[in-house]
Amino acid sequence: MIKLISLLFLIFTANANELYPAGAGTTSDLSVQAFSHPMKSIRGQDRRDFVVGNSFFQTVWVTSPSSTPIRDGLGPIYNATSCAACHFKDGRGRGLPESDGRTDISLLFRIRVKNDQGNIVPHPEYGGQFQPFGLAGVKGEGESHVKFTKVTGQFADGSLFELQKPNYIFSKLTQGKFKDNTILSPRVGPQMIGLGLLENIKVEDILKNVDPNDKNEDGISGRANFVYSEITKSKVLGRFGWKAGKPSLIEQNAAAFNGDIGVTTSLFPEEECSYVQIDCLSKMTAIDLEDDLLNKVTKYTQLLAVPVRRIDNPEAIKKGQRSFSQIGCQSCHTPSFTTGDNSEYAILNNQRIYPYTDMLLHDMGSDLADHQEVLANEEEATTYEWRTPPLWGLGMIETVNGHSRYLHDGRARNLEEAILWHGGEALKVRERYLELSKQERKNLINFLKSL
Amino acid sequence: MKALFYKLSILFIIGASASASTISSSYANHVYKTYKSSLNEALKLDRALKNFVNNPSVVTQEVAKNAWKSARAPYGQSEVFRFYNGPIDMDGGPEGLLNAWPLDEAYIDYVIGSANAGIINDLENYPVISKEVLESLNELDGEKNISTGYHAIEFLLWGQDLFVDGAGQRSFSDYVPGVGLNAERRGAYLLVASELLLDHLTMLVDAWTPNSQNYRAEFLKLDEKVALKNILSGMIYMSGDELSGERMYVAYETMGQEDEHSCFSDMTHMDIQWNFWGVENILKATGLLNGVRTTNASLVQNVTERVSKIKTMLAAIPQPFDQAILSESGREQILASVEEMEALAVELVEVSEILGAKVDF
Repeated sequence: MIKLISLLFLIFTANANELYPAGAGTTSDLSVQAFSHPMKSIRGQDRRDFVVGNSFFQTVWVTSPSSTPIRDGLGPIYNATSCAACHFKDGRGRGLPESDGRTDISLLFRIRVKNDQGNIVPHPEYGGQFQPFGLAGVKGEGESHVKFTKVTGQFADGSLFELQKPNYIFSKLTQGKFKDNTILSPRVGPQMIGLGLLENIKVEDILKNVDPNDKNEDGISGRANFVYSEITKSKVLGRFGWKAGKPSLIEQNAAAFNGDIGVTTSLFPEEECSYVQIDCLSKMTAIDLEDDLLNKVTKYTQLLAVPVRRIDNPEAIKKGQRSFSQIGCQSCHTPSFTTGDNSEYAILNNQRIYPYTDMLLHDMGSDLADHQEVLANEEEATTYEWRTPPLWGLGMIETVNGHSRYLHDGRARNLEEAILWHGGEALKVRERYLELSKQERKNLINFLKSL
Repeated sequence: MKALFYKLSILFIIGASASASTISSSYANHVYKTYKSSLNEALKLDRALKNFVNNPSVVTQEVAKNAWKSARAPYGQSEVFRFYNGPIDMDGGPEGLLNAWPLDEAYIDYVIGSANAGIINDLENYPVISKEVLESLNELDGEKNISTGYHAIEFLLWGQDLFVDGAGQRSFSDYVPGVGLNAERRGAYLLVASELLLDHLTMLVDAWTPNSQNYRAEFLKLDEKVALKNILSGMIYMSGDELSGERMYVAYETMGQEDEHSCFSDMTHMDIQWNFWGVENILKATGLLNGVRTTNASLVQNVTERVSKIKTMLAAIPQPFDQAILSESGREQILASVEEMEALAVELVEVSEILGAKVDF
């Protein structure tokens, strides 16, 4: 039955490939495991390495020393004890609770301060990231809570909507209160699908869409984040993370291992303990994850597939797709790329993919900003900027992760709210969304859910 | 057009030999019997554990350990019923509560270097050890680790495996009040874990019981191809990913003594075999290869021979498994078995394609 409907969709659509967001590697499982499969056709040693990488992605890290030395080295301070804790089932975290209370484990905060010289640097006592938990005998950094305030608005047709604006409160801080010059940036653990494909888009193809001065006057001014690479020891195009702060998966993974779990590698061999965190400094461990295993985890993240699209209502979805493009969503959520041929895995090369992202930074307005002031708080990305997240898999989040929270901190409780939070460069697009009829909005949301 | 005609004729042939609905019912029967067997052995285990906790001694501990080993045999053969969101591993299914591993030992009980570790020794945070408490703690969003199931019981019977030449050597005195630290709580934990095991296995038996309003009833109503796809998914993923990869290749790669499945009792060499027998059992119980014979007789022969070969190879891997991953000949044999199981998975995908129930692998 589903095949027949897809067939109908094909009649409407220009391109049959759209059904397969990951190209030839697209998988068909639509259960809670939908995000956890390797690209179709992965076999032999690659598949074995994928399984090993998965094992380390899911493993719960423990204190060192232990009877499992390969899987110890947690902390001394950390956000979670495994990758899977925040990227559960290779999906995304919820970030926030339903109502006021503690933030979810899947939400972390990056910290910067504006020092006396006006430079943006990691917090001298808390470092670059807030880590609430500590090993036995090591103080965690504190707790984070959220208090929501209502934001109301109106569609052109008169109907009302209500958003929840999160306000973050930090308590039980162990290294002193945050001063006014502190910039806290909330980040939820994003989904893991299709990352290898995103990594394999050619630099020049991404840069083609850069338009910082809005030369084409479409209101959109995407920028690239050029970031320092630990591997090339130079500045290269950033791709991964909410502000495109990391250039490659291996660096993203190694940084996350270090910052979020306290697991060190040759790339990031020292845990982040500040000069005042004496207990932390005394419990740092030598390299916790050897290069070979880090490479396997990276391979795992490179080979995770994307599930096929779900076309349960071809007409509505086609209409929604038209609206998506007409109101201007495509300006940043670029539907398609063809990957390069640089990967050692054939399944990642020369694939026509449909991630719905331009991989660039955009000013999203003050409501979504980390801070009132416009400051560069992640390499060249500012407090107001976020990298366009890919929209593929959006409709599967509810199945895989049991929630439907979106945006960088999970504040949007559904897809419509995510759209309504758009500001900055996207202000005009949002206005056009407000002007759509209820049915048109419904169609657009259905289109997003089909991705 | 030719392809369509060819496919239609295959459908007729399948109808003539082993119809999918016969396969579905024989599969359902087999699953039910396997879970029933698991439950029966778990009941015996429960009695042995109660006897042990009430009379801790070398003998009662040995009896309990043997009961645990026996209980593992049918369960190991049931693991092939995974990977299609059936009762065992659908959302909310008991798989994680029954069999998840590795275990964070210090989460449950004392470990070397941490004499007061674990729920058992934490009277402040866990004043009561009950079914509700243990169930709620298990696999809390991946953050907390395993607190129930076969391996938790295994850990409580054997203790950490710190020995090159054998399994864990926990003393029965851990359960002697006044001698073992928190002995009564340890006993309570063991018995609660056993109770939970029975509850979860009963859930599975109920789900597959004949003549009931349950999963089995729904399974038997499924489109024949869908049911076949599910059956084959379990076999293909067990052979191609879970057993060969997760349970053998990872340990082969890391050479970590604790990366083996039943690491406290050193029974992994049997787990591996039982898991694979589960694949063969389905072929025998359902006769599903019959539907392939007319189309591709040599494929059927290859599969049959390979299954036989793998069984022999797995039985030949040096014991215990945590030593096999360290020795040159053991590693050779492990890798060879992994390769054979991967080849089998590919062949079974072909089988699924011929039967019109292609499994995405």
